[in-house]
Amino acid sequence: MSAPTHLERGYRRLLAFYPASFRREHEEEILSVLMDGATEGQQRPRLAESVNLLTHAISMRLHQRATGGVPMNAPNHNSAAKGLRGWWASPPRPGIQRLIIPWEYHHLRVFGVTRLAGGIVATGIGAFILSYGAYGWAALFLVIGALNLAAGHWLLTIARSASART
Amino acid sequence: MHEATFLILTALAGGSQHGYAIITDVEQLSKGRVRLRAGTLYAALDRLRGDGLIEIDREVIVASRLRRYYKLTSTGKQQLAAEAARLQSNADAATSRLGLSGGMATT
Repeated sequence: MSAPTHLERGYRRLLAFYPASFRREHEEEILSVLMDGATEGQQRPRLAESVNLLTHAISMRLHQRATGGVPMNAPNHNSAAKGLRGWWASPPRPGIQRLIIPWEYHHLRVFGVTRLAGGIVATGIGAFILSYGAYGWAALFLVIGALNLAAGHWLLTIARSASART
Repeated sequence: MHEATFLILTALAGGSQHGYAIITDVEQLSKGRVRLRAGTLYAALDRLRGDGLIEIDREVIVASRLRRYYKLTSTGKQQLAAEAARLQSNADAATSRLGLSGGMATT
């Protein structure tokens, strides 16, 4: 097998954002598709492609979290890793509701939506920088984006749990 | 059913295909309107396989790259046929209404 090209390494870095279960199953074949679709002499992943991969990777992670770590299709045999993976997006314990005044839930929803929007913007900027190869800066924006998305997810989960109770 | 999903199933209705072939086939089927990106395609394939509409046909290594071929299951064929019939009936209804009112609706 020939040495991986600069482009291939770029794609692998993007695919690393997918959940482990999905990567085990699909990483090699997605890479083939991406390399098949690359133009002659292309050096790095295209912007739209990067955004597309990151969006699906994040939504898959959120989906797995929402369904208790179960992948979108196949049964997941690695239950030990499952508990660790995605802890950053885990919703807070229900008891936290007692600390929140009922009318505050509306604010939580607004904050949550704002956080999600901020997270999407930061992730977009991160993906944009990533496509230009400035990995340090890209990582900074992607981390900020991920934290905002997680915070938004938390806030909305609390807000939803309130409307379910009343 | 999303248009992309419908087109992916249609691409596979002609026989098993691998990822990149599905992308180019969907582009042709939609006359260039739908250009699937890798992330979108694999999210769809993963979901369709989970729903039992498609399955893996075979795996081939070409120039040290993995190519996995997908094909429709019998459930997939049934659902695609049902969806095609539904779209056909909607399209027929629209065509006939437009025809009855003599072109564009005036009311």
